[in-house]
Amino acid sequence: MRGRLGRRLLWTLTTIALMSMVAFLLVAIAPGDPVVAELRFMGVPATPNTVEALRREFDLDAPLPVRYARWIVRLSRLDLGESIASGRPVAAELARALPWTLQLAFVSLVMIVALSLSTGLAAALHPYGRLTTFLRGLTIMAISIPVYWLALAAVGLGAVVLGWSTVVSDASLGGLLLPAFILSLAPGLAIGRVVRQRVIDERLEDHVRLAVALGRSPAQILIQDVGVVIGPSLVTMWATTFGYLLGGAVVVERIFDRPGLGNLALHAIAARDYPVLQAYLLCAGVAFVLVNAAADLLSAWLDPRLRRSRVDD
Amino acid sequence: MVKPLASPNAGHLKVEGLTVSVGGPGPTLLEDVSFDLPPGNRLALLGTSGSGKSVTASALLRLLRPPLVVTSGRVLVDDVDLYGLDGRSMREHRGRSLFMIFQSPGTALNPCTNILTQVRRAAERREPSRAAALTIAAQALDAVGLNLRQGLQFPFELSGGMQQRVLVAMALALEPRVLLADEPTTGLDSLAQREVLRALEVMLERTGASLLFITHDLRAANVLCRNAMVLDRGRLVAKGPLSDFLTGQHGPAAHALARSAAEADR
Amino acid sequence: MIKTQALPPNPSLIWGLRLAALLLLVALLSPSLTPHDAYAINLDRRLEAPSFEYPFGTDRLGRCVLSRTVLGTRASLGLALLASAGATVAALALSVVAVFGGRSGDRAVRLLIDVFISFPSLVLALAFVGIAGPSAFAAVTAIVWAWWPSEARVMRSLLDSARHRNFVDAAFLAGVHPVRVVVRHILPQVGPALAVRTSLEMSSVIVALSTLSFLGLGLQPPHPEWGTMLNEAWPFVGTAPHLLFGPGLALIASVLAFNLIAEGLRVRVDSRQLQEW
Repeated sequence: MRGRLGRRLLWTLTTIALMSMVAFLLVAIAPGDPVVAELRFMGVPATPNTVEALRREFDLDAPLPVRYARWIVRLSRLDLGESIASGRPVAAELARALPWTLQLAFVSLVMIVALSLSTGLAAALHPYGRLTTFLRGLTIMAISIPVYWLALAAVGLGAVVLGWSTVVSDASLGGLLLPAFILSLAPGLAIGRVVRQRVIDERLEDHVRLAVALGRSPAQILIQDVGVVIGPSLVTMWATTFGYLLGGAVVVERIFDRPGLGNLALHAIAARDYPVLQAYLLCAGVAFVLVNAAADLLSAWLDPRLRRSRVDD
Repeated sequence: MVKPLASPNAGHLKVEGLTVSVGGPGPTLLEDVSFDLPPGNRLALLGTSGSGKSVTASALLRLLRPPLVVTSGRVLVDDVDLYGLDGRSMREHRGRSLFMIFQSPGTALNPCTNILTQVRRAAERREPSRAAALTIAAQALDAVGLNLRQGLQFPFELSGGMQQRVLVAMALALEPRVLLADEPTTGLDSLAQREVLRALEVMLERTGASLLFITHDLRAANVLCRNAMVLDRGRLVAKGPLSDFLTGQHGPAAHALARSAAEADR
Repeated sequence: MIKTQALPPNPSLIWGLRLAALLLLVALLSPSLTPHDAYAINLDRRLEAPSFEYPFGTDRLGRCVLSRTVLGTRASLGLALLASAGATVAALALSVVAVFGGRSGDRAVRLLIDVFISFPSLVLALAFVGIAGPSAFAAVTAIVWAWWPSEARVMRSLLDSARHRNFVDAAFLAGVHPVRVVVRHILPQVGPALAVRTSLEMSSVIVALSTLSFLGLGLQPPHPEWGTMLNEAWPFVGTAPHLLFGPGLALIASVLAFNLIAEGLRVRVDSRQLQEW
């Protein structure tokens, strides 16, 4: 397991390093002049002097690799620059917004796991019955409806039926559970169908037949004989939804007025706040990579066949 | 000659008119199979591939894969008809009254658990205490010639012969009254075959279980069994002492088996 | 010539294609299909519930929602088609480089894919739009930018296994012209799986583009587009919930159409492969 751990760590770090390059380049080769935009925002006329001064402050006169290196050095000190819009350190803004989004994403992930396991197992017990057909229809509908429409409908329903005057938001349970649930619906049901198929297929396998022949209880067989074997692929799928959750959080945070990363990014887009956008991209990317790496290690822990450090194909 | 008394753990397997077909009206894979395995005895079920051996094994365990279904007959273990039991009662009999060593151990073992744990789980059927079950498991593995280091390994790290011996260790830990062995030596080199047969001998002597040895290999059957029956295209065509089959008596099916055994010897 | 039996009936594919054809028709003929002028503001008739005159009701400026939904088909589907095509072309180009560009080409492309695919798609798209500034063009480019990695990963893998079949190597060695090898030997292998993938991509892109529009980052008002319409409907969702109906139905129909096509094609590919056995 050690070999794989080491390799995974190395690969993760390499990926993050390369991603930082992407985040850097995105802003570095952006069209339009951020300096002029900044001056306009500050209300200062864009004379050659002021442009030059600001350019030096933003490091825009050095060649690309040098600028990247300086940027990386600042990054290692957790200095992500200052927000063009608010003037506050980007790192601080990020630190304020990140917990909101992570909270939403993880609660939603838990719901996805719960939803996929419950619907998948229930459908696997009656593979060709009405529950399966019903769930199939529901899944198709759920994956065809955009998340934001569902969120709007939920808010509308809340207003019309429950008499919500303003949208429930912030740290309250209602302000977290409902958005998290809306996000979890489509992937939860979709993965549930995969769970159903995998359980059905795995039950026909020889090692499950042996477990039955041994006289083990259905619960034991489900967890220790079926579950452990299909676990890794499920873990990988769940980890992949994290990326979708980070993206969907933008929409849901807007509609439910949660001050998370998504809302931060939207304000940054409106204000052309490049440092914040850059940090947002990198932050979301790194979070996704870390979750995937953790899932990969969990899979290897579940299935010892995955523990050999494989050659990258 | 005085027949040795059967041990109290020896089960009695009696099959009456077992018929298996593909779905209710479909082709018949087993036709009116009947035999008696007295307590403590060892009987070989011989047949070439396609004769219905594996179907018989699955049918005896009530593990037939759909759409295969038993259309008539009874499977009696210690005078209890397995096909008359409900799910829960059947589960109680599984492993304790009747157990099978599966044909391809590579796919029969749980790929994600180490073998000591797997044998321990089998022992827990007999001994609910985890510590006691662990002891039983360790002893069982030792009896079939596997050490503790191997016990902590996973099935994919072991050879075919070792995997097969793990299944025998499971049987040792379970102490079933009737043991079925489905092609336990097939696909193994001669050294591994000897090891597996030796392990089976140890298991049978220690537990006193009755044995139904299912195989196409006359030589392997001859190591453990005195008597045999031949299955040909779903029907039992011959029964008698194994020595008779070796000399080519009892019809064309038995003849074919004897011939392939002789060729394997060369 | 292998004789194939008739393939089993495929309701998914049939209905998917019919729905997609209907939507295409609506997109092409939309100006003639609108009962009212989609841009006509009528402040006396704001936020009216559905009626015979206005089957989907009116929006906050008194415009006919049905007309705007119908006309919006052009923008919503047209832009999605553009973005999807762009991502597919980019993915295909890079896959070709990977498969035919030797070891270094393959490594470089795979590295590129692995890095870009580590970002969540929508986040990448948002970052791009943020830098470029909101517009329909920016939204389309952002989608191409964010969707090509996942497409490229699949395509490269397909192309790679198709390229390394024995008979393809044999064709190359025999001196057959490379283009001919590609057309006659590689394309038939990857074609079906590629079609499935492209359909799925299309439905994903439709949703993504409308999401960007909903966030105000795509086609700007007053042009009708389903996402933008829902954005305008947002403040009134409690008082005038009918506003969700038009664009919502259109979106669901579009996504459903391409998901059904993908499902139908996949079933077809599987059954044909089973036949070849």
